[in-house]
Amino acid sequence: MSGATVSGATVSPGAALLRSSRMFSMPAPIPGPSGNFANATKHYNASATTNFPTHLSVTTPATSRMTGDWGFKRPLPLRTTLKSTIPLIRVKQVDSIEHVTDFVSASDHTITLKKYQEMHLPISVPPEDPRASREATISPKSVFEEDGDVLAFDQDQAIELETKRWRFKGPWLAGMTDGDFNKYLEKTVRTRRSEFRAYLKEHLATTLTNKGQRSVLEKGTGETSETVTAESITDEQLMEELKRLREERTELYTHVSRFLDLAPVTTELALMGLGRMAPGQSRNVTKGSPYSYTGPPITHPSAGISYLRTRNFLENHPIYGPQLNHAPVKARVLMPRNMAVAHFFPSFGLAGFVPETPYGDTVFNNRASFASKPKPGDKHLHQFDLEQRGGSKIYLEPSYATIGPNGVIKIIATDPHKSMATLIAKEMIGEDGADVYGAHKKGIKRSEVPRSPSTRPIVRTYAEGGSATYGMGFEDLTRGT
Amino acid sequence: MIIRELRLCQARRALVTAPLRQSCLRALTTQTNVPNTQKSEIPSIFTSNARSSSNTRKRRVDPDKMVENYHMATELKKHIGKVGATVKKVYRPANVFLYPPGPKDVTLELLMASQAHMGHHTSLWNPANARYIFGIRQGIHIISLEETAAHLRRAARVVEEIAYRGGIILFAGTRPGHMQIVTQAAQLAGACHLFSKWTPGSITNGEVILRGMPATVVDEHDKPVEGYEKFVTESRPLVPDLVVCLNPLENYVLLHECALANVPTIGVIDTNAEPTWVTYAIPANDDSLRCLAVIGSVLGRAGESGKKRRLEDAKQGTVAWETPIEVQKFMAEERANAAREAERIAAINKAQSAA
Repeated sequence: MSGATVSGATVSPGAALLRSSRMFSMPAPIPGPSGNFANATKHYNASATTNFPTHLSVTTPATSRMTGDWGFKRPLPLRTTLKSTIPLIRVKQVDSIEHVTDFVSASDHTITLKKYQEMHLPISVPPEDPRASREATISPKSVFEEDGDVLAFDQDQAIELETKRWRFKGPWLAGMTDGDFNKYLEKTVRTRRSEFRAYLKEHLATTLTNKGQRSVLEKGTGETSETVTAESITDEQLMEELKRLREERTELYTHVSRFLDLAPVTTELALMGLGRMAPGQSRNVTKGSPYSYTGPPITHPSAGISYLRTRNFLENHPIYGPQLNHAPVKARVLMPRNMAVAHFFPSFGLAGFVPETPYGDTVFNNRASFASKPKPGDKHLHQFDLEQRGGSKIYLEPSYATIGPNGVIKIIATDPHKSMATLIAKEMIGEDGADVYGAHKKGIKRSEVPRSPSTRPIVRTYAEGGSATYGMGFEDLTRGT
Repeated sequence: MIIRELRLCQARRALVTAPLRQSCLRALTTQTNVPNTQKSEIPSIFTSNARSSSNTRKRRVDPDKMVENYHMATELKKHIGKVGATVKKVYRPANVFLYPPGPKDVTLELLMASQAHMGHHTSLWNPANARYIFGIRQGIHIISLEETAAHLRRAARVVEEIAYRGGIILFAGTRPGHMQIVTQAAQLAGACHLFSKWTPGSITNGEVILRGMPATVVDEHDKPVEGYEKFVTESRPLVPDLVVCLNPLENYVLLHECALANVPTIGVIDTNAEPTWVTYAIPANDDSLRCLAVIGSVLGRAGESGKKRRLEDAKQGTVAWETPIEVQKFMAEERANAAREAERIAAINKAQSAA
């Protein structure tokens, strides 16, 4: 091989052009969500929106769309592509054996992403235990926090960040099928047997050194203990250590998982008590990884949905100024609560997602309404509204979002409690006759006795309204009149 | 001093706040004050939708600053109007028809932008096209842009020379959407076009199919010449001297007839087409209308320049083409007939004068 060919492969001008072309820069589709085995026996809708997009969304200017030109091999049929307001397609095949371009609309994911980003909802680290998600919901932690969002780490950092990082070299054992696990043992683990022994020797050497140092210190004779090296450990010593480790399952798992860099699995409370059964020995049980319960994410835990770190910013209103609460989002009641079919919580459609509502005594889960009749205001949560066009709507406040290991976005939404934010949001679009401004005007009390010219109202010059109301209180709006 | 200010302040306030009495107004104006008693009523069809007046928000009435704002904006534009980038509209789909590109405008960029490089699915290929194929991407064969450009330029030269030699060129494209491309190219080159089905046998069996079709005989300046009516009605129908086919796959019959009649053909050959069906292949994407519009307009422009050159040379007295043999024979016959007639008339005249 000559040096010239190695150093620089010159390409023809046409090739250089093609390499920089848009079609060539289309990323290869990522593998789709793996099938759920439970779905195999259920009704499966082939056209249902997948958990995450796999293909690039393509759009075209209006002038080109009129001629069907989307930049691909042939003009796309106008009957299907001219219908939508926002042109978006995903191309599965530029050309197929049937001489057609295989494409479908990409509005589902693209518009959903747009709607999601309009909510200004950051992606948070999932709760350590999803059954106790309340804590995480109250003080969510961003996935972009430096301590957890680490990709480059050495051996020591890998152990240090065990409970925080999201990328692991090994698999998540709790989510593997039997066949996958056997294959993993066969292909990856068996071949590293001698490597693991060396690792154990290294570890044993460190333990013995520490032990020696401690005993010398305890004696207090001023001697120095010798350092044990991995080479000096005999096979008998290692065998003894192996025998001991087989009894100590928790410790063995810690070694194995660190050696293979396995994704963390949950350490149940029952295992924590094991230490008490072996007095005089301490065990370190790692616990607390947010990904131990559901498995590590397949992408970065934000999945590129939102790059916000927090939701703690003020929204500004053109008239009322900075707002304490974020504007609530109008959601559709997809399915009201129906006890007869064991649908205990109403389902909503919020910006293209079906959010979860918090447990506890909320408007969605009103304890009182189990027994008695629902309140008239919450009627739409309990029965279908057949009269209202488009179904009944409700204002929700998205509070927390995480992404599951299968790419599903999980949003937790709460009731804005008929707050001022809801009223203002309604007033903005002129809904339900909501009129905050007019209501305040009406709230001004006028003295019934006509004022005499000598008692002119005092014009107050100081500003009112504290941080609690942001000038939005009733008394604030009456000032100066 | 303090008192004076207070008075001034109060006076101003009084002017602003106290409503002008009607009596005051009457004293100040010379015109009669007609009280506006008629209330404008909302048409009844809108009343059901109209919001009640108590519900509407009172809007603040701002003073009209339109003129002031206008002057401020013009003043501002004077200083910062030229700052910033101007967004230029680079691509308009209609440009290929408004300003058709010629052979000189053929660049790799233009060809790539018009999707000329996109071949068919790799499993649909014709291995004879391997020499034009650059590689595989997104499951399709990619046609080499350099090959496309070179073959397109060569085809443009062929069209230009045939137009220069006064040949009949036929642009054929029979898929939906080809009509505008084909007609434009034919219009530019002064050629014929075909956007509907090719009637099979129009070349090989033209005597039957095209019998009685009108034709004209023209001179070197493309002006119709009189005296050839008999020839036009009796002669065989015309056969094109070059056929440009945008979709060879569907027009196999046309190309086959051309091959039988020794008519050269130019065709857009996609990776699934057979390149031997045409004489001059242009390896390119035959499905994209944008690509075909570029190819059609380049060939049309080539024909246009050839035709222009022919007419200019004809003015200088140079004619690059020869009169067809059939026409020459007809002319000779006519000439002989005329001579015979002249002889006959001369003989009659002679006899008359002798008598």
